[in-house]
Amino acid sequence: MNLLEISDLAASVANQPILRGIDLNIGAGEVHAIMGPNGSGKSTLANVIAGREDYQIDRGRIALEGQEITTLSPEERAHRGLFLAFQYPIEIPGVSNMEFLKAAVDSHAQANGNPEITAVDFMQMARNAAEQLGLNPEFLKRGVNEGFSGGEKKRNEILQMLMLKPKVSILDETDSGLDIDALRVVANGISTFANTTNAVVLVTHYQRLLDHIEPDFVHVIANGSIVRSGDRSLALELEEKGYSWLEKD
Amino acid sequence: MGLVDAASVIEALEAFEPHYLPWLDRRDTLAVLKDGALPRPNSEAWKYTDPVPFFDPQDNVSDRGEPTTSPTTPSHTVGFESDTVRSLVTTYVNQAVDQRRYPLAAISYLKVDCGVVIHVKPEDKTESIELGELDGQFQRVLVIVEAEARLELIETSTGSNRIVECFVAPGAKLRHRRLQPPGTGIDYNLVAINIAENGSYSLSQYSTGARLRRNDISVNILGKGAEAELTGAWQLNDALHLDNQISVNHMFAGGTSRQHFRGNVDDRAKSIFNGRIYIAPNAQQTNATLTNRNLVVSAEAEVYTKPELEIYANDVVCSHGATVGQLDTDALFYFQSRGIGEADARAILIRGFLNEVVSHADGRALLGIET
Ligand SMILES: Nc1ncnc2c1ncn2[C@@H]1O[C@H](COP(=O)(O)OP(=O)(O)OP(=O)(O)O)[C@@H](O)[C@H]1O
Ligand SMILES: [Mg+2]
Repeated sequence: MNLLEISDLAASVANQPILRGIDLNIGAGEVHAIMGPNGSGKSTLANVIAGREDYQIDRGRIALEGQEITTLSPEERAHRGLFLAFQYPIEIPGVSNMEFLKAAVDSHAQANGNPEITAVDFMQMARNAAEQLGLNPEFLKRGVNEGFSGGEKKRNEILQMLMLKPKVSILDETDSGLDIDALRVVANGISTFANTTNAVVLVTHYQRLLDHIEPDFVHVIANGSIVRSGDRSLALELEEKGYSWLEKD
Repeated sequence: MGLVDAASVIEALEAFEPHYLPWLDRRDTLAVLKDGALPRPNSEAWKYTDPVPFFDPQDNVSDRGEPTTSPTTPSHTVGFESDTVRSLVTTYVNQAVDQRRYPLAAISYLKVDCGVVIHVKPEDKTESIELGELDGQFQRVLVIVEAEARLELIETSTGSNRIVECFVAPGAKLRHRRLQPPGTGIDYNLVAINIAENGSYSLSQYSTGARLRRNDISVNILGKGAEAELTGAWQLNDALHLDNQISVNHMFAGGTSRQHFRGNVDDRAKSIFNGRIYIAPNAQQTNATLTNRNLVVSAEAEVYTKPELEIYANDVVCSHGATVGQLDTDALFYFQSRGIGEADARAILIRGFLNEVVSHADGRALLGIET
């Protein structure tokens, strides 16, 4: 059984159709890359999967481990193992990263009937994750993403992924805004996390992330549908030729 | 808004016979009230809060019985009735209060039935004084912090009617915390502060509402290097009402004032905020800032906020801002996407919003935003 199955998914925003029939199957242990021009619908797809309310699903289904999730709230989807690293992580002054993370981790434990993690273990886990991503543990005390640089915000998203251990992680342009060293550190974090029981979807514009994390499949979205799927050579081809040869009108 | 019947208010005050402190000179105060200080129709100061219940002699006098002539006074305070403070009282009382602007303070002075003095000298070791409920219906607190002295004053009161007048002498420092638990009645509070050269005053006011609650705050910057830092946070639920009217008056050059107020308004509650900064023609090199941010989390809640600047000096730095907003749906989705349910997410976001201006555990407890 696939971890995530998307079939004939169409969705609109503000009555504007954006996704026009997406089919995508993601199996355990796989890394997928989704590429495509600006405005083609990549973030929309990620948000629809995560359950964002302002996106209207017009038809199709999304199943996580065989179970339909389109009627579930975003938090229920998260509890079942879905994770979205935001293209533009939001700043939340007044709420510390630590408090935010603890609430997130606790909510998962509670929803899945697991015992609550102790404060000490939690701190240890958070510090380890921060260090692994080259983030000073002092960041945990700051407001969520408050005043973080672009790259720090992206690292913070991955930190959350490491803490929540999702089954399917959709990383929306996590590589943009990272310097060369940070890209390596973050890519390492993702690679170490990826295993045979989970799956990672990398939404990206650049081959350089895929140099670090080799995708098993590459998909190209244009104008709200997947216009081409292939192996990692497709990404290299795109790097060379751009998208125009794939786009249909 | 209702209309205050000035004639009958004056009539009742003229007939009033003070039992407490008959020696206080009340004539000027009565004269001010007779001279048109009572709210007129369409008064800006009473635009969103009905003044009538505050001025109605039936409504604003409780039935606690005959006022006592010698209320009990908390520790570290001395009652006005004591001979040892009489000269302090006559010297200081009403010196920080503009009775024309605050007619309810004038009425409260006429009817005062419990007055206490807190007098701190530099050699005093008392660092913190807690002031809870007081004995009377019309309460007066006179705080005198002598030159170079320091005091932390912590007030907790659902208070029905309390006027707190503070004098911060040169180089003195007063930290003032006020906790206002929910009330069921009609509350009137005035905090009036005079700050002398290099004096420093900070207010941390944590409020809920009452049936009607009015907080007037008046700060006079009276010397170079005088500083005022006013912070306030409120959490309003049910049909509670809170009206904060602040006036920071820079009367002298080289003063600083900073104001940060935040409120969260839920259910059918009503929040009013008016923040005035007055800078006199001679008050050059003034630095004054004011922000008021409001969250409205219910469709039936009401929020009115207005900054008001009156600047007559040209070499000043002054900024102000007031916002009213709802919880950010992007932030809510961010929380939910991490597994945090909507109700918890809302609570954390509200807590985070208020926490930016709350720096005391008792304040957090009062506002219901402990972690
Ligand atoms: N909330 C919204 N309201 C209106 N239009 C929207 C909204 N969200 C997305 N869109 C539109 O949907 C289209 C797809 O946007 P989306 O963010 O999914 O693109 P993308 O492929 O992620 O692009 P990029 O590579 O620039 O991140 C765009 O035309 C965008 O303007
Ligand atoms: Mg995008």
